[in-house]
Amino acid sequence: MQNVPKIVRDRLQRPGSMPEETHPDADLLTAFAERSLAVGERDHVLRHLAQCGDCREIVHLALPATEVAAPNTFSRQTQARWLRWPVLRWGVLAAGLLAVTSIGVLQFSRRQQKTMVATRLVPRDQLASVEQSAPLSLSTSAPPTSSQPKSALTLAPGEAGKRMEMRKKVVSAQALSDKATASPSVVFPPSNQFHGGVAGGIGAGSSVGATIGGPVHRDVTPDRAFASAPAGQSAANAAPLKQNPPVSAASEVVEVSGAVPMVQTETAAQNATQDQLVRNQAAEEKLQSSGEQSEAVVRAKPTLPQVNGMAESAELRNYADTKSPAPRWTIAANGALQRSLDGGKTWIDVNLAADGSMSFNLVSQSKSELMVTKNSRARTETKADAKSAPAPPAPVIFRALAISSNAAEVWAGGSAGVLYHTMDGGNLWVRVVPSDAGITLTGDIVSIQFSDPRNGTVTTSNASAWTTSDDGQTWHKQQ
Amino acid sequence: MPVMKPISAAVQSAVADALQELHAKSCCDQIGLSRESFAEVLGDVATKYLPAGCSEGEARSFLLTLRVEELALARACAAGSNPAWEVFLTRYREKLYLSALRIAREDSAARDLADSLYAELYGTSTREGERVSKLASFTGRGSLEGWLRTVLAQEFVNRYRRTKRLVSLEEESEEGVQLAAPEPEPVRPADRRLESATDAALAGLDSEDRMVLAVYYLDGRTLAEIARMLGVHESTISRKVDKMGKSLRKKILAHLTQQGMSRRQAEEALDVDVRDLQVDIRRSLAQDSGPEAFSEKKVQVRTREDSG
Repeated sequence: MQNVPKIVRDRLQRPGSMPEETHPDADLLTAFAERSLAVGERDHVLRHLAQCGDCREIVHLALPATEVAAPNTFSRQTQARWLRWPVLRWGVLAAGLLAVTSIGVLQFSRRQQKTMVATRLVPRDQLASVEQSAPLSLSTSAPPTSSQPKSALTLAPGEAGKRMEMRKKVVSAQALSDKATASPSVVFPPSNQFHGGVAGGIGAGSSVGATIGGPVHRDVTPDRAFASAPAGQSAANAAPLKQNPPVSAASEVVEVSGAVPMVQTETAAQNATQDQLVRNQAAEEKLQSSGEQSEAVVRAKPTLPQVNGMAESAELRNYADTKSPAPRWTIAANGALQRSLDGGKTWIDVNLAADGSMSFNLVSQSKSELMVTKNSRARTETKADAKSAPAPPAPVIFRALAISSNAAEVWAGGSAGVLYHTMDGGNLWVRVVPSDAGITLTGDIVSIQFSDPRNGTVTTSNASAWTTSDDGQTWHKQQ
Repeated sequence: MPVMKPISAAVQSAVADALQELHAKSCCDQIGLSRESFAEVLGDVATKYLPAGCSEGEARSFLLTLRVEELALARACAAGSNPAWEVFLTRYREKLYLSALRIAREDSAARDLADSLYAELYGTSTREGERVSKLASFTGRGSLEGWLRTVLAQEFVNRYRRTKRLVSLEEESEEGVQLAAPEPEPVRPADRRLESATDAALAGLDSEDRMVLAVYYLDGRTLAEIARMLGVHESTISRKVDKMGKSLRKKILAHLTQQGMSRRQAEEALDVDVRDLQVDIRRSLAQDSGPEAFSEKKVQVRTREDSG
């Protein structure tokens, strides 16, 4: 951390040139801490806090219990004293290096395994014939453990030659599902038309209608903090990935309120790699369903150009693995939202306004209008699809980001009131349209700030502020 | 008694316009606060925070930001409503003590702190024959729970400052001699040009950046603590502090060279003796006795300096 010259510290202590001010009252300090002050008032309080140590102390002491970590307000030096013992210092360093090395080796070996499994997936045309002759039955019991990958799939006898291929597919799907339990995902109850894990609409080139009904609930980890950054600044998450408590697939779902929506998936001609990923998703759906909530998991993959071939696919699948580096987010100079899955070495545009050869909209009638946009891979469309596909919407110019500490939950806002939200690191995005008493947010979003997963404020270019206290389910316009 | 500003017509109109909606949200009737009293409270709060020439729309928008349910509860308690006190105690009594414990970090001090605040909230003191409750000053800008924590923190900071001075006096009595104030550390007077260059560089920072610098370098808070104070991610603060450290140095050097120093002279002037660093940090962390503002009681304490 860059230190400042001593003269800076000396001058910081000097009383300001402003006339003696009265201290902000308890109401203003409380409102400041709770982010409910107007911009001008907040600035005024900040100017005072920059000069008044007592008020800074009060703001710190008054933070809620979950947000105050240090037991002693003056003990930053005291807490660090034990680190001055040379033995402990070196011991901690050695332990850290060992842990990092172990994780790196483990990660490397897992990626190698996945790469090998992916290259042996059955091509689409072969798989279609397998489906016709050997319908699959997958159990819908409790989520299988990693020790039971093979028992999740039962094949009709006589399919020995194809059994090996299917098993490998299921193993890879199982590997995905094992890792997916630790990350949030959008969960929808299964449709009767999804069956066998690989049959149904997605892989077969036909459109499928899926009914989604019933409320689903989101279980938000309370200790996630958010970072917000205006456009033009990198929002890369430098903090190490937090080990969130493991969450079962049954409890991590997104709440969709309002009318029961219809979800339609339209497929187009796809390359073999995409088909395999889709089938893996479908198989994963069944494997993850529990007895109480037998729900299909839909995880959309972002529209990303292939980078390093299978390595990119592996990167995306491996995101669910909590040991993978957390994704980093930024807004490019041209307003594009970008994500890096390799610690910032490469950045890829996240095209939330991409045309959907595989796109679907989910609209519910609620105070907050939600649209789920599936981030589809860029691929060659057939002429038929090109004719029937809707005209691609104009790309969004993003200007504001808010990112949780584990980079899984991201709010991105930009021009014309566009506001997107993801809870799984960018695999599935939800378009949120804040509305309050018939008024919807339409201005350019310039700032998004979330003090915790539930409470946030979105500010627009026309100085209006929209607040939510339920993670974007409902919004209230402040000014 | 603070002089209340007259309520403007715009505020009155906004209150009348929003009253039905806010009254419904506040559940006044259930806690013994009349609609008229509630309207009066709204008018007072709006007048306190809004500029004199605000429009009706601005006033209405401001009123809609208030935590009206908690505001009504606090004001009903201040007025002595028993139903309101039942609700208040149910919701906040335990939280009050837990917050005091977290602030004071010691059970007896926490109980003492919480009890004294509780007494002020209940209104054990009177003014002009009327019971005065601290809850009458709650305006609903923030949550009532947060306000209670802030008031506890204010009281704690006041007590801590008073205790420091009292402990110094006790030490003096035990020793039986007049303890001379320690010799001040010899401070090399800073170059005036360096001071002005530093002031200019600091003036170029926005208020939030300046506050972050003060909290980090003067108060010694961690990046995580600062992030929580400002409601941002720790990495944001980390980048901010790092960036400011680099940019301040550059700006100061630029100002110094503009004032006629050579680059080398400027760097020498800036990189003052590192041996002074530890000493100055300790000195700078010591709180000066600043202006009193929190407690209504004025405690006259003879400090060591005064008795000298």
